[in-house]
Amino acid sequence: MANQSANEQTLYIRDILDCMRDFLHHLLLPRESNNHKAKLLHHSSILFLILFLFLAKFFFTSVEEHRPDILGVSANISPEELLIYTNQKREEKGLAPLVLNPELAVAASRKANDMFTKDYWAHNSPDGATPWIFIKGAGYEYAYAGENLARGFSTSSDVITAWMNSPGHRDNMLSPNYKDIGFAIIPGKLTGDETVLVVEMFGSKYAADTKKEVSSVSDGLDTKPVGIASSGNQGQHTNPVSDTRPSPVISPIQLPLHSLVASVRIEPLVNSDSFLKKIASFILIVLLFIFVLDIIIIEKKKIVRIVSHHIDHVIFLFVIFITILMIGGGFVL
Amino acid sequence: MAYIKQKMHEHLWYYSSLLIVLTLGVIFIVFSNTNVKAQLSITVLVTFFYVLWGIIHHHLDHDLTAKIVIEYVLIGTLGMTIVYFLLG
Repeated sequence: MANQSANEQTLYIRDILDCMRDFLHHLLLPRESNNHKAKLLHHSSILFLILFLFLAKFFFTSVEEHRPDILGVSANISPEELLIYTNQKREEKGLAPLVLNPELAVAASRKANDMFTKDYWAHNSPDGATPWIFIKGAGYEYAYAGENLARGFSTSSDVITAWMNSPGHRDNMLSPNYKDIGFAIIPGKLTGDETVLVVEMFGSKYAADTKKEVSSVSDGLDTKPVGIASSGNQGQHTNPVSDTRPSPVISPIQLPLHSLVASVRIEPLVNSDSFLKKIASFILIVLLFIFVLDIIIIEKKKIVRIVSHHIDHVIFLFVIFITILMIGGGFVL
Repeated sequence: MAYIKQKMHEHLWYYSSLLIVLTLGVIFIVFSNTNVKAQLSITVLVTFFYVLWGIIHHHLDHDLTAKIVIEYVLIGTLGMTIVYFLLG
């Protein structure tokens, strides 16, 4: 009796496995049951996949908005780490370390907020406000000033590495002209992308020798000092010496320093960027695999069908796959 | 593989132009890396080109049917949806 029961169980399991195998073949391989085209490539299946992606997107967006602790952008960036790493790089070059300056931190914070409010990713705002306006508006009378921007990075070391790999940003970080530094690290939605924005502002204040040195290179339009540069893809920005535009940020500093240099430590249960990328990659890899299998099997069996060219779909979906691998990540400016 | 090679050879102009436009699309998307709207717009344009080119290709091959048009539109929409899924 025991043997008979065991045999029945084995047969039952075998039946289930056969059913599953049959179903998978129906889904993935061209054969008679699916009209010689894998079920997953039928119009209804592709339409279902599109609807599934839209619904999944809606669901994940809702979770991101309401429960960012579960699904969201992951970031762990602190001004302390940024300062330490920056000064490490400077020390390696025999340069004096920079000192965290509250006025530059205010300027960086205001610049970051301005970027979020006006939704731009540039050194100059759409209404023409340069970084120097923010620095002066924060009460920092500079002899030299510079700005580095970064977004979309997860850690402080990633930010520093990206800046060091970019000649313009590296020049700012390793400039002997700067003595002070200020950071703003603010999460938010920028140009349609949920991200963490890092603004780094450099500067050195008036000194008797600097004033003398700078005034010697000014063009005589003004006796004000010449601001040197912001850096990045836009190249070097020279502060016009005759700039008389009013600063948009002229209110005195009222925020405590700790609130201006706060770290951003966001560690959701699931990092939305990598999670969504994995889902999209999985779908594309499965589809590409089925299309290639379909091409091979149909050719091998010499089955005549009136369908579109599957090679076209393979090329198109492969290009989409390459695209999703290349988009995302952090950027510097 | 022989089938793919034969198809590629027969339709060299078609596949090379498709590859060029799609590659340009990827380059533009990657270069507009901080502008999601631009990236989505380029994806729409590239997909539109892909669908149109597929239809023209089948028309020239005299085997264009409504079913084939629907298939190109569906695959194109799927590609766009995947990019939107990540960027939107």
